[in-house]
Amino acid sequence: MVEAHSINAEHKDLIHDVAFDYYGERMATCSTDQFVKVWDQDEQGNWNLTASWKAHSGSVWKVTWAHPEFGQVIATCSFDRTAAIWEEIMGESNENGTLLRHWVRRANLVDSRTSVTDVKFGPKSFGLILATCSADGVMRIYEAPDAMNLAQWPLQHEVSLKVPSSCLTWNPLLSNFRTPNAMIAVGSDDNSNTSNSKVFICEYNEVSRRWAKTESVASVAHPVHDMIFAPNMGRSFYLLAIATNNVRILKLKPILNYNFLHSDATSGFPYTIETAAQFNDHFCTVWRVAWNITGTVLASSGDDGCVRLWKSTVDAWKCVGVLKRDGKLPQPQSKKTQSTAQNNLTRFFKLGQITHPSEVHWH
Amino acid sequence: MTAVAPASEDTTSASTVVTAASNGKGHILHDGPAYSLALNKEHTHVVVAGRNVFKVFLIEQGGFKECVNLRCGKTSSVQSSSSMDVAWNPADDNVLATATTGGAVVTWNLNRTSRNKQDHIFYDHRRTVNKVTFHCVEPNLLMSGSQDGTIKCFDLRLKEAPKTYSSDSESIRDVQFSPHNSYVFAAASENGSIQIWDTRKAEKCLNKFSAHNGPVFSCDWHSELQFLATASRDKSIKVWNVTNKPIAEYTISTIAPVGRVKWRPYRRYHLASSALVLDSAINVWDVRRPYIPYASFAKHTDVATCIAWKGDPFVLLSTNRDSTLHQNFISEADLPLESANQQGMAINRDGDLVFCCPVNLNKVEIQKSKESSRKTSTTTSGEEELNTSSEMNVFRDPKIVMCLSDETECIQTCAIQYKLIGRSIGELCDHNAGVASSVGRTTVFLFWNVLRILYDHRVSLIALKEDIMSSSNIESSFDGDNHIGSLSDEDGLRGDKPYQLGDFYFGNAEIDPLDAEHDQFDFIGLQMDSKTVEEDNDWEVPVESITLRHEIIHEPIVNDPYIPNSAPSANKLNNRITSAPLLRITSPAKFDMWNPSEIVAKALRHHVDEGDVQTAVCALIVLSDEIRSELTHPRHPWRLLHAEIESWWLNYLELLKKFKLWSCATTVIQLSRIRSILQLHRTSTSVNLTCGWCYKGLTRNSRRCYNCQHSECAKCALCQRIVRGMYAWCRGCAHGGHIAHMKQWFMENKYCPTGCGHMCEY
Repeated sequence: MVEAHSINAEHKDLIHDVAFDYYGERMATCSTDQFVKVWDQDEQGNWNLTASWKAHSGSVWKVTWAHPEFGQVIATCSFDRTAAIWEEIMGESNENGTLLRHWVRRANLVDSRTSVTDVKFGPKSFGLILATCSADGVMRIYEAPDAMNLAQWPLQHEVSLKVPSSCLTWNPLLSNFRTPNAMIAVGSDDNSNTSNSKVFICEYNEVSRRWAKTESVASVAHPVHDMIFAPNMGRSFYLLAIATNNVRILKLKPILNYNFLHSDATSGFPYTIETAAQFNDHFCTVWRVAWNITGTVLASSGDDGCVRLWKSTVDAWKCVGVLKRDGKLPQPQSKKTQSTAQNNLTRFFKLGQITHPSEVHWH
Repeated sequence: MTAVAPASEDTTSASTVVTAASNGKGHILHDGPAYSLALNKEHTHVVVAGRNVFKVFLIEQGGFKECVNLRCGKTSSVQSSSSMDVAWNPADDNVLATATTGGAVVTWNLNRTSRNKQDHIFYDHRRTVNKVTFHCVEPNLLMSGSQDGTIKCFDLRLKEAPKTYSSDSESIRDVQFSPHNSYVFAAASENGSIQIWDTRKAEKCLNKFSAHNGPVFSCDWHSELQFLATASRDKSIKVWNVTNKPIAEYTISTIAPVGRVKWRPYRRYHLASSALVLDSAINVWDVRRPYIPYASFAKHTDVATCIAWKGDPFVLLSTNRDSTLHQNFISEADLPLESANQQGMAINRDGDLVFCCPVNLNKVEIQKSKESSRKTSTTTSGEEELNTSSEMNVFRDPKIVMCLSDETECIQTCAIQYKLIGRSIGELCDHNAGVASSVGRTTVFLFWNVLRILYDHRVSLIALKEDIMSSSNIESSFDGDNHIGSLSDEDGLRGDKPYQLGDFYFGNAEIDPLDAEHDQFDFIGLQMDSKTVEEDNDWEVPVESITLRHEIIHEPIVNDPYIPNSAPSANKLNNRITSAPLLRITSPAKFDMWNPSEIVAKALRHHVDEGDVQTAVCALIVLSDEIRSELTHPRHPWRLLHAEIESWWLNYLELLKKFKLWSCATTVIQLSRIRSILQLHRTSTSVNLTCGWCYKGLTRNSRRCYNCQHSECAKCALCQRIVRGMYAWCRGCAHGGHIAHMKQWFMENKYCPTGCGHMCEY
C-alpha cells in the first residue's frame, strides 16, 4: 500500500510548484500567497519546514534548485514580472548550537514586462545559467559569469516566441555527444488560437553565438501547461513529456549517421520528432508531468486530481499506477488479478472509475 | 438623454464619428491624454477631461462617438488651464463640474445654447484642485479637494463662498461622499492619512487615521458595506472597515504605486485598480485574495489615468496616458489564476512523489463554468466561493506500483554490490548476474550471463582454436556428447531447478550464444506467467541478438523456421545441434570469424536506450581492454563511439552522485580508461600539507618545513624517524607517527608516546 504523507504546507493560497533539490532531500514550494517555503527531510523521512519567506509581490509561479555545486541556490519567478535568485547562508549558531540558516535574495531579474511564467537552471556543464520565459512570449537566458558571485546575472540572450509562454525545460545534456548545442523547449498556453503550434525548440548556435528558435512542433495544438525532458541517461534520443489536453511523450532523435558525426551540420534542425506516446486517460486538462530519476517512469497529474504513472515497455508506454490525491489507491490489486498485464490494466482502470465516478462527470 | 441630444446636434458639424474596436485599441483622443473621466447617471455618456481635452462621448458597443467638445469657443484663462478632475451631476445630466490646476472649480451646463457651455467659476482654492465630486443625493452640493489642504463644499444654487473643511495637513487628493450616510465624506491626503468628516461639522473631522506610508491617491466607498478602499503610492490597496474604529480589513500589495481604485458594482469583494506608474495593466481584485488580481486588463500600452465602471460589473472604462479611452470588457480580461498551473508535482531520486493540488478540485470546475457563463449571468451575488488552499501529499514508496522506489533501490544496490575488477571476467559476470537477480532485474541478470558465456572462455577458446587449427582433426572437438550434455542441462532448467551456471559445456563459440539464448527463453518462459508487465522488456535483448546473429552467419541456420517468441522445442534444438557441427566442418573459416562484439555493442546500446546506463557502463568496465578495443574498433560500422561511451560514463556518474555514492563514482572514474573521464579526478582535487608547528604550507614531497626549519611534524613519536607514507596522529595533541607504531603503543598505553600527557584518542 502506498504510504501517503499529507503535509500541511500552510500556504495561504494555492501552491503552484514544488521542486526537489538535486539529491531529493530538500523540497521547495511556492504559492500565490507570495511565499516560498523550504522543507528538509529528517532521518525518519519526515519533511520539516525550515524556511519560509515572502519572495515576491505577486503569485510565485515556479521554484527551481540549482546544482548543489553552486551552493544552496533556488530561483523563483512570479506574476510580479520578476525572477529572483535566492541563496541559503549559514549564520551564527544560536544558543542550542544549531546553525541558523536563512535565505537571502542575491539577484532580481526585472527584464520582463509581463508575468514570468517559468524559470529553470541549465545543466551543470554549462555553468550557472538560467532560462526564464514570460507571458509575452520572450525567453531569456541569464548567466552568472562568476559562480561565486550570485548577484551578477547579466541578461545574455532574448528569444521572442511571440506567443504567451507557460513553461520551459532544458535538455539535460551532460556531454556534447550527439547534440553539440544547448537546447530548451518552451511551451505555450495560448488558448486563443488552436492552429498555432504550442511547443518550440530553441537552440544555442555555437557559430553565431546566439539562441534562436529552431523548430516548432506542429503536432501539439492545445495549450501546454508543463513540459519536461527526461534525464538522458546516455540514450540515443531525447524524451520530452508534455502536459496539454492529454499527456504526450515526444521523442527527439538526432538525425545522425555516424560518418557525419564530426562534420558540423549547422543548417536545419537535426532531429526527427515523433510522438512516442499519447495518453488520454485523465479525460481532462493535464497540468503536470514529472520523470523519475532514470526517465523510465513518467508521472502525470490532471484536473481529475489523480497522478498516473506510465512506464515504457518495449512496444508501448503503459499505465502502471494511479494515485489519488488523498493518497488512496482505487483498490489495491490482488495477486490473482495479475494474470496477464493487459487484463490487469483494464481492471485497474475500471476500479478507478467506479470508485470515483465524480471525477469524470463533467466531461 | 433628451437634454444632451440638442447639444450634441449643435456640435455634430464639429465632431467626427469615431468608432474604435473594443479589442484593446481604444479610442484615440487626438488632443492628448485625459486625466479623468466621469459617467452620467444613465451610463450612456462619458466625459473626459485633461490638459487639452474636454469632451463628451456617447458610449457604443463597439467604441465611442464624440458628442460635445467643451474645449472650444473663446478661451479664458480658466479654460486653458488643464482639468485635473471632472464630475457629472448625478441628477441633472446637463451639469458637469471640473477641477483645474489653476485652483478654480468650474461648472458647465450642456443646455447652454452658446458654444461655450461654461456656467460658473468658483475661485476659492489657492492651489490646484485635485478632486470634484457631487453629493450622491443632493445634486446641488459640490465638493472639491485641493492641493492647498482644504476641502470646500459649494452649493450650486447659491454660487457663493462655500463651507471650508481644513485638513491642517497636506494636500487633499480625493474626496468621496459616503453612500451610507449623506452627511459623511472621506478625504484622502498626501501624508497617507484618511479623514472622515461630517459635512455639518466644519471645524474638526470625525475621525482621522494614518492609512498608508505614502500619499493616498484615491479612495472609494463600498456601496453596501462600511468599507473604504484606499490606494497609495506605497504600492498597496487597503480596505478599511470604518464602522467603528477603522481597521484594515484587507491589504492588497501590488507591484506599482496605485493611482485609482473603484469597487466593482454588484460584486461584494471585487475592486478595480490602476497603477500610477510602471504597470500599465488595470487589475480587478478579489480583496479576499490579495496576492493576485482576479482579472487583469493587460493589453494597455500605458498606465491608466482614471477608471470607472459602466454601471454594470462587466465593463470598465478607462482613460490612459497614451491618450486613449477604452472600454474594458471583463470577458476579454486575462484571468491570471485561471491560466496558472494550480498543481505541483515532483519525483525525487528515492522515488518519493510529491503532489500538490487545490483542496477542492470540483469547485474549480464549478467556478470555471460560472466564469464561462459570466457574460449572460445577471446574478448580483458576487459571493463566489474561493478556492484558496492546496493540499500537499508525499507518496512514499508506492510499492504497489513498484516502479519509482524499486528502480532507485536497484540502482543503489547494484552500484554498491557490483564487482568490477579483481577477478576474471567470468567470475565478475557471475557475481554481477547474482546481484542483478537478487534485485529482480531479470534482463540484466541474463545480460551478465550472456557476457560471461561469450567472454569467459574466450581466452581459453583462443588457445583451443589454435589447437584445433594445428590439429588436422577438426571434428574431434565437436563430438555429439557435448551437445547432449548441454541439452540435458537445459532440460534440467525447465524442471524449475535452481539456476545452475557454469554447467554448460563451452566447446565452441558457435554453440555458446545459442545456449545462452535458450537459457533466456527458458527463463522467460518460466517467468512469464507470474511476473508483471516489466518482463516484456526482457524479450528485446535476446530477440535482437538472435536475429542479428543469424544475419551475419549466412549459413543453413538462417533457414530454420525459428520463431523467437516461442520457447524452442527440444526437437528444434536437436535439429540445430545436428546442423551446427555440419556447419563447422564444412566451413571452418567461419568458425573463427564469428565475433559477438556487434551483438554486445547493440545490447549495450539497447540497455542505455531503455534507461539502464548502469548495466552498460559496468559491463564495459568488466570487459577487458581487448574486448573494448574490439567494440570500439573503427573498422566496424556498428562500433561504439568513444564519445558515446563517454556520455554513458558521465550519465552514470551523475546518477551515482545523485545517490551520494561517492566511492562508487570514484571507482567508476578510475576504471573508465577514458582520458576525459580520468581527468575528472584531477580537476579540483588537491591535497595540501601543512607544517604542524608553524602552519605554513609544506612543499610537495618534502617533510621539512621551510619556515620553521624542522620536520618534527613528520616524525614518528616512537622511532623518531620521518614518516613516509601513512601517518597517524592524534587530533588532540597532534602527535603521532607510523600507523603500526601507534597501534602497538596504544595497545598498552593510554597517553601520548611523546609524554605530553595527552590522553590520545584514535
